[in-house]
Amino acid sequence: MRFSLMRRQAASSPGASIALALIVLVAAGLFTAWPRLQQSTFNDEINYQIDQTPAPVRALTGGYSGWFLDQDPDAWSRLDASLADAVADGGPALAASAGTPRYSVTSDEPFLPTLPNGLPSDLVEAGLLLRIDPGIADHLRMVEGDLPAPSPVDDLINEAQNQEEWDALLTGTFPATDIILSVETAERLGLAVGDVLVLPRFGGGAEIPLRLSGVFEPADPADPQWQFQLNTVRPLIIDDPNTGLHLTATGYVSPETVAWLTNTGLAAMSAEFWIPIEPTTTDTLALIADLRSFTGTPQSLDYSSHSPPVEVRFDSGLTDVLSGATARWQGTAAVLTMVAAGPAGVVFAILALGARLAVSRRRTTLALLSARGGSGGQVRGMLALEGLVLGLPAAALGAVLATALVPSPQPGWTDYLLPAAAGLAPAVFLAASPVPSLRASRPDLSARSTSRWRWVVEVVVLALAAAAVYLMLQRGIGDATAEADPVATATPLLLALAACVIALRLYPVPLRMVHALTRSRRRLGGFLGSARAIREGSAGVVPMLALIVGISIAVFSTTMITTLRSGTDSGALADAGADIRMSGPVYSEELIAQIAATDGVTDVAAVTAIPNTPLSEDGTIRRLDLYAVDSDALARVQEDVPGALDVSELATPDGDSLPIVVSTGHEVETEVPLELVFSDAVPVSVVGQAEAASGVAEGRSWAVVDLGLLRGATGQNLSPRLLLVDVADDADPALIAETLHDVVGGEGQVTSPAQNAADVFASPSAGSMIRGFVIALVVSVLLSIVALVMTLVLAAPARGRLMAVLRTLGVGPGLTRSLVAWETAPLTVVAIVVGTALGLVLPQLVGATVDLRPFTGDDAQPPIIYDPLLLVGVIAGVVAILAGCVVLASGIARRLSLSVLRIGDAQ
Amino acid sequence: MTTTDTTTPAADAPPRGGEILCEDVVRIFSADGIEVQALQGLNLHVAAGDLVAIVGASGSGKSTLLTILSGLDTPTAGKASVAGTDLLTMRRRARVDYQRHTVGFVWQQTSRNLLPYLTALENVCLPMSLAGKASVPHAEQLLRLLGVEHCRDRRPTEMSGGEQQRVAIAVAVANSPKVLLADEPTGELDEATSVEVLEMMRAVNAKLGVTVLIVTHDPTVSEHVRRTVQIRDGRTSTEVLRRRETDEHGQEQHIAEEFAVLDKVGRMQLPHDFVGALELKDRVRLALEPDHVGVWRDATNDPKPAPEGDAPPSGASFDQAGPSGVDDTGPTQPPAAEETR
Repeated sequence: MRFSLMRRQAASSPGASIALALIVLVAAGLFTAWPRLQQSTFNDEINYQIDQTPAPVRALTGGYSGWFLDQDPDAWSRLDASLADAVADGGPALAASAGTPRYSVTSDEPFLPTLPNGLPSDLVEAGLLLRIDPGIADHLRMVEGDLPAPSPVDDLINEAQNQEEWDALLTGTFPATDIILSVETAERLGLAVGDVLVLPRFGGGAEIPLRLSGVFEPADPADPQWQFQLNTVRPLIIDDPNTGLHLTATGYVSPETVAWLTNTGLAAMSAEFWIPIEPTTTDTLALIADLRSFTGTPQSLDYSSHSPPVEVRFDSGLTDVLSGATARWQGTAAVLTMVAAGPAGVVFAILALGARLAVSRRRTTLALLSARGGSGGQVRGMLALEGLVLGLPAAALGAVLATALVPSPQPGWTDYLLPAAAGLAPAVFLAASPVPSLRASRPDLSARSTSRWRWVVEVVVLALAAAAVYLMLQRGIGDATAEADPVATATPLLLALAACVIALRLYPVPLRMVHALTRSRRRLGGFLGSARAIREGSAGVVPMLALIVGISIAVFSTTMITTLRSGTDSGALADAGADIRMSGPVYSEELIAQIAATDGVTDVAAVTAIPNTPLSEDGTIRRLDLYAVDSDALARVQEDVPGALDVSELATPDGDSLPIVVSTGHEVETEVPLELVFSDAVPVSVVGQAEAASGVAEGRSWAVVDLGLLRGATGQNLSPRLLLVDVADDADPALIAETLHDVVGGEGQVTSPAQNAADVFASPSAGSMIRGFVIALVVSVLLSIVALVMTLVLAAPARGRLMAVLRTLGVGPGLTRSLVAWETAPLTVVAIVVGTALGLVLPQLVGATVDLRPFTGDDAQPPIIYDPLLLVGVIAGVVAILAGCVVLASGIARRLSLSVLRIGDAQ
Repeated sequence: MTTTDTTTPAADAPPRGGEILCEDVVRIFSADGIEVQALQGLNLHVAAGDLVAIVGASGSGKSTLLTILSGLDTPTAGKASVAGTDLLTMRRRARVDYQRHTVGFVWQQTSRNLLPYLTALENVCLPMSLAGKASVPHAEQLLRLLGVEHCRDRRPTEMSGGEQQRVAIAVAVANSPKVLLADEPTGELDEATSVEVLEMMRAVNAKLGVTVLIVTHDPTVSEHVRRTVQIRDGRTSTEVLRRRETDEHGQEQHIAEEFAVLDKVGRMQLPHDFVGALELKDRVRLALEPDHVGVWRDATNDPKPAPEGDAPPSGASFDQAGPSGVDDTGPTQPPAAEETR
């Protein structure tokens, strides 16, 4: 009976119930999806960053210097097992992301072999490094010949029965041992498969012959293997200006030929280890922790049966990359949480409004139930049960849908707290709403003491908002490891509430003016509508809050995107140092002239880097990186580059000495004679100190000098390897960069900051921030519409009674439209004004409290940039959507106001 | 004011109802400095099993009285008890229990008595299930008693106004309350239906023995009850009692007599028309006679001297002689100074 009663009651006014259930469904879905999206975007971001990091930087690398080889036949398999154990012990996150550990053992110093066809004429010297890599067969493809076989010498050594045979063996002539070289190396050395080259023997004795058993090329040229093992596919050729070309080749010998190496004195070899990290992590924080602990302590590798384990310390550039990405993500998360807090708060406010609506729709029923002996507990219990029946399945469905649609790498039960709250909210709000009473109310005596409480509540809200803002400003830019704190999350919502309170207080002021205007007009609608809006105080808190939050999010997101884009642009420009940055090969004067003559290029500044230049301070020599710049051109090129070096004084020599600017990271005594030590000493005088020289200098210890003056002083033709190119304002740097790429014949790198900025916005965290903004905006606009409709529906009975009275006085039915419009339009206008103001203030709060530097890559927090045109466009768009929906809602509300006047119908 | 009719008398049922006792009940509504005294020391005693109507103009306080008696409101001061339950000291739990088992009520608007989405039977079962036990046979019996068993499975919208009010009475007595309160039960009904519904209330009163209190501004209601109490300005002022007498022709007659209500401390209200007819103002002169009390206009400030004598022509005389109302003088007939039963 009781259940059937409840069922009937629920079915009696299904509109409000369905609305409640729908809101819960959507809210629970969003609440579930949001943290999962955040988590998965975070993982995407991390994996994107891992992917963007070159394999050798992201891998765990380590080395062991000197005498690594062990003659134990199963040493390599033991080493494999030991490395695998180390990775497995490094933690589950590391083990999940780590690839197969790799290692190689290479000669410490190159041997100088005697080549069968003699040294090629263009080489001064050809060295050979021997390398053992048991796993190399998987990474190369033999073009000709075979993989190296174990040295025949090993067998001879094993067969040697006594010391004499041993000595005879070692002093006699050996059979040749197999080696393989890359195709390119073999060609460069003029070797063919089958050729024998001879290594000299240390400390006398017979020479050691090597037979080129085969030549290889990489199985996959893009294989990171060849990034780890540089100068293997191609020989290392060093161009010494004094002597000529020095070549160093690397060849693989069989891993089972340790005895030969040891006994011939070739075993001065060091080991390199690398453990690739794949961009597949699902738990970044765990991965960072695992990486830190793995690199923090030496790993002990046990591969020899008779010697103690060796300790190898691993290192990875990934920890820094991941920390940077995490910091960036924390910024994103902080901003997104601030954006999401508003709509989340509004959702609950709307659920409360919906509960009020549901209760008001069945007030007579509830009043009768309670008068007929339904106790408070029974009535509230029934409402609560109905709320549970509505809320929990809807919340569950929403959560399940979101869980199914948005995969999460790390589902946690805490993700479901907010959806659960949304599911319970209808029950709580329904049960908490005052049970209507049948007792005849005396409208003439209705208590007006609510206004006193209103003051108290308003003051509390304002105080809380002020306190939250104060706390956030006090704390300043939080450190990157700080978890999301409740104050930062609640502040935007509190600010929106405070703005709402102020708006509700200020709202009657302009309305009174409008009312005064309409009083003199003939039309009833404006007069009556404005009078109602002022005197009935019908402006609801919830729709006002929803509208303010919606508009402020629109303004806030637009500003944040503008700010971040501009910050990223200037950060990228500061990084690049110019509109286009060209680096790599030596740029000749002709080439520079050709570049300068390219269409759209207005200026080119050449930079020559001379690393590790000795600077003598009164005889004490310290080294720094010297950058010789085209100072006149550089000043023009870097006119609008943030953090550009002031080079104005570099071009005017002070007597004999050259003016230099020194980095603050390299403190020099300016009072003593300073000289740059080249073949001759060049006296210099410090004309300035700078923290940074955008695009020119890197590191801490550097000095900048004028290129022309330095050339004159040293007499050397210091060729630049870096060009900073300025393009015309109306030209597209990306297009010109392409042209220049062709001009230099594809050599070196040509980058423009615009590309960098685009790269930054291509990252998942930036993308998710924009997506988050859009979702929050759409949701809050929807919430605003729901709040407006609910308020209109809630006010429908009163409006209906008013209309009934007016109709008896002879007013046409068209007035309803005007009344409905007057219930929404002033509210919307005020909300737009206040919401815009709030949206303009919030970015300042974010700028003051959230670390945005990881986004821009700049050292300074980017300034908040407002783009008035864009803002007006966005607000206009939101207003247009809202207006359309309000018109629609008014139509619905108008239908609801159609009622018949019944004399004596008090309620 | 006496009327006669020839309806057959209802058999007196055993007094199973509860007694209503109000002594100096005061109800003050106050908010922000405004005070409205809706009840100003109301006295009312309704014996168990009685059927009483309370009439009064709008604003006289009758609805406030009913709200208090139904347990929805609490008096500001005074003494009020229904079937032994003290309404002033009643706590929430006791109030729920009171509403479940002690009182039942019928409101004016038919739509406010019944839940629109429940059938008549379900509506009758509702208070029972709120109290913890729903009995369908009992509900059916009540519907039969009220002559609406044909509405058993109809919803309120499928019933006539009279049927709705009858079902509402069934709902009100579903939990066998001791007192049935009715607020303008015939307010929305036409005359014939009103008579039907009032007769049903009488039948319920007679068959179930429940005390019935009907609040109305409809003067015809008083024709259907033994006792009609009039409320004026938050006080009970006069009462009309009805009884049956068999006259010399063997015809049964309904005899109605009007009395003024005298409270414990001796206060009473003079009927308006008495006051108007004699231009009584500010103060009156009283004189105690062996069998009645005389009231005279205060003539001290009159321009013409008042005539002397025991019974001046401008005075009103209150006779203790009791029931003598067989003449048709209406309001000029002196009301009985004491309540007689």
